[in-house]
Formats: sequence, structure tokens, C-alpha cells
Amino acid sequence: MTRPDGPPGDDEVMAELAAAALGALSPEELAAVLDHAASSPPVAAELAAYRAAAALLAHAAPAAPLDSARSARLRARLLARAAADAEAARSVMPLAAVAGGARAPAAAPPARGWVRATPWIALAASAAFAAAALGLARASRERDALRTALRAAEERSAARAESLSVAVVARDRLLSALTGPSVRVVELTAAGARDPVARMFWDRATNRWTMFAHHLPTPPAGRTYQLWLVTTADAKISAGTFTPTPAGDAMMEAEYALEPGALQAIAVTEEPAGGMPQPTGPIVIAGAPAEDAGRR
Amino acid sequence: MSEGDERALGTLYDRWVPAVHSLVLHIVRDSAEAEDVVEEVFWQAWRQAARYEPSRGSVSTWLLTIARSRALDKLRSLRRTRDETVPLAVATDAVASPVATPQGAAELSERRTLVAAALQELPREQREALELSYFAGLSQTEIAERTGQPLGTVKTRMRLAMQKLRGKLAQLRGAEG
Repeated sequence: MTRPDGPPGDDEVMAELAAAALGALSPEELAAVLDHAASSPPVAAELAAYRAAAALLAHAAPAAPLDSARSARLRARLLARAAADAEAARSVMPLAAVAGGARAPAAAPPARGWVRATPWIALAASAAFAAAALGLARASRERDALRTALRAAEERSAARAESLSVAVVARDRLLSALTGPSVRVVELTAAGARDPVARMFWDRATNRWTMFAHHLPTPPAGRTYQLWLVTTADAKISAGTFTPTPAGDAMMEAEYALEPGALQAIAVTEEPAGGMPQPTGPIVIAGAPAEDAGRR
Repeated sequence: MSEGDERALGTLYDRWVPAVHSLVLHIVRDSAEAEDVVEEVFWQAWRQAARYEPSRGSVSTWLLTIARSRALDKLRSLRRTRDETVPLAVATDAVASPVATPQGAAELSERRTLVAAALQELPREQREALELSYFAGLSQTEIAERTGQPLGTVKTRMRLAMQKLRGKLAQLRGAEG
């Protein structure tokens, strides 16, 4: 749309304004339009009007609200980031002062927190708050650098916090399964040797079974260990399969409701990988509850 | 400090997340990616609050402009990694259903209805040119390539469509201030 003999006139630029507002021009074409708009108020006004119309196209997207659970998570993530950001902005204050060469007395009150809070409250109310821009802009460069570092740290710490909270919940459950008033303990020992050993904690209040085993040999390839609860009616109930660590340690957790007097024995057998419906292999360790071992 | 800060961000989020998510999802067409983009949109708004100038448009215009821009960035990067081409037929059944949020729901719904009605009045090829540009981020040249139409035709369609849209939406823009 350029004339061979000179820069484009208003008419030619006007013809490109709709596309410019939509962002449908090449960077070079757009630069030419913006140049022109900078020196021609009518062109600038037209461009602004097209931009306003283009912006409304956003509302042509079909309504697709985020589901409430995901939205709540996203909101929480954002607020946490914002809180960390605010914290970082505050901590940047002294750096900004040093960078600017201002040897302010240490007691100088940092005003940035106030400046930052004000535009946000105003923004939420859709009111003007551009006046605060100056104060914010001064610290923005320092903050950008810190923010990058901060964001990486935030992501690491968020992941760590999440895995910690999962670990804490698991630990809590474990502790209550071991120390509850209704926990019964059954020792399991190997038939012929002193190793391996295991101890089962049976929380009869919650029907949780927690077993710790040690010195278990690694099962042969294609084989696994399987835990059995043997009832007084001689039923053998599988409580799951497991493989010990290379050091021979294992922990097993299971949930199964059993009448207080219905447990005859607990056994670990070696079975084909994946486990069996009934025990078929040799018993590795086994134990019976002592009659008086009701509490620990 | 500034629990008020984060509360303000929360308020902004609550009010505009339905519109922002709708737009972003329509552009990137992948719900997991859309969620990431929505987070970045509000994060960017939070960081750039000071650059917002009320004289240049409403908060929603500002926020949705950021949303479109970030969503198109994501779309382009997805296209590069997936080596995908843009779907030619952008959905044109963009007649919105009301969004069930307590705040701004009626306002948003009215805007959606007006914009959808204005678009429906455009000839199909004009509407398609607008949508390929706005939602797929294609330039006039790219639209010409993908639709097999001469560039001049695409330019004309886009210009006519925008002129009509401006006229139809004058009332809405006035109301939006």
C-alpha cells in the first residue's frame, strides 16, 4: 500500500488501520502505520476506535468458565505468588536506594508498600491510579531481576511444601497406626534363622495393618513377597505384595477389618510376581499374636 | 504489608476469570495450557498494574488484551512444538451463554450477546477473516495463504468487517467506558 513516490498518505494508512488494530499487519507495515499515527491526530483517533472495536471481539469467545476447583487452586497460586512478590518488592527497597546512590539514613521510611497497595485497590474498583506509576517504575528494574530468581525459588519451594505436606499426612497416619490405644503388635520371625525379622502393628480401631520388616533377602527375579493374614478359620487373606529395599527393609500398609480374636497368624511368603490368590510359595517369616499382647 | 494488595488481585481474578478463561481457552484450545496462560495473564496484570491507563480503555479491555496476547504467544509456541497448522474453520457459533458469576455476570452477558449479534450480521467470509485474525493470530498475508484468497480480497474483507463492527458496537463501547 505504499506509493512508489513517497510515504503513504492518510487515505492509504486509513485503509490499514483495521488490520493494525487486529494485529494482522507485518511488523514493518505496523511500524509504518504507527509512525503515521504519531504525526496525524485523525489517524491516531481512527486507530484508537478500531482498537476499541477489536478488543470487544474477546467477548465473541464462547463462555467457558474454569471449573470451580481448578479456579480455586489457580487463585490460591496467584495470591501466593503475589504475596511473595510483595515481600520481594519490600526487600528490594534498600537495594534500590543504594543503586540510586542515595545514602538515605537507615531510618528513612520505606513508602513503597503503600504506593503498591494503592493502585491495586483502585484497580479493583476500576478507578484511576496511574499516578502511582512513577514510584513503581523506579524499583521495577531491580525487582525484575529479583523476581526471576524469586519465581524459580518459589516454584522449588512450592513443590517442596507440597511433597512435605503429603509426607506429613502419611507420617501422621503411620504414627496413629503404630501408637493408637487399640494397636496390637505381632512379631514375625524366620523359621530357621535369626534373620529376617518383622513386626506388624494392627490398629483394631481403624483396621489398619502396618508392618516393618528387616534383613529380607531380595526375592529372585520374577518373584515377590506377599503378606497374609491367617484367620482362626484358616482363611488366608492377602494383604498385598512387596519388594524390600536393597538393604532388606520393607514397610507394608493394609486395611482389613478383622474381629479381635480372629487372627491366627501373619505370614510372608515368596510368590510369583504380582502375587497369588492363595499362598503357594515358601514361608519367609511368620508369627502369631500372643494371647496377652493386646497393647503396646 | 498489603494483604489488601493480594485481596485486590483476588477481586480482579474473581470478577474477570470467566471472561479471561473463555478467551484463552478459545485461542489455545487445550484446558491445561489455558490454565497456565490464565495464571500468567493475571500475574502480568499484577506486575504491570502501574502501566494501566484508564484513559485508554476499561479494565476488562486491558485485561483481555493481555489475555489475547499471552494466549496467542502460547498458541504460536504450541504450533512450533507440535508442528500443527491452524484449523481453518474457527468456530463461528460464538453466541455466548451467560456466565454464572456473581459479579459482572449481567454486564458480561450483555456484551457477549451484543458482540455475537454484531458478528452474526457480517457475511460469513468477513466474519471468518476477523476470527482467523483475532483468535488464531494470523496476519492478512497468512489468512490469504490459508484461505487461498487474494491478499487484496482479505484486506478488503477485514476492513469492511471492522467498519461494520465499529458501527454496531458504538453503543456498547459507549456503555463500557
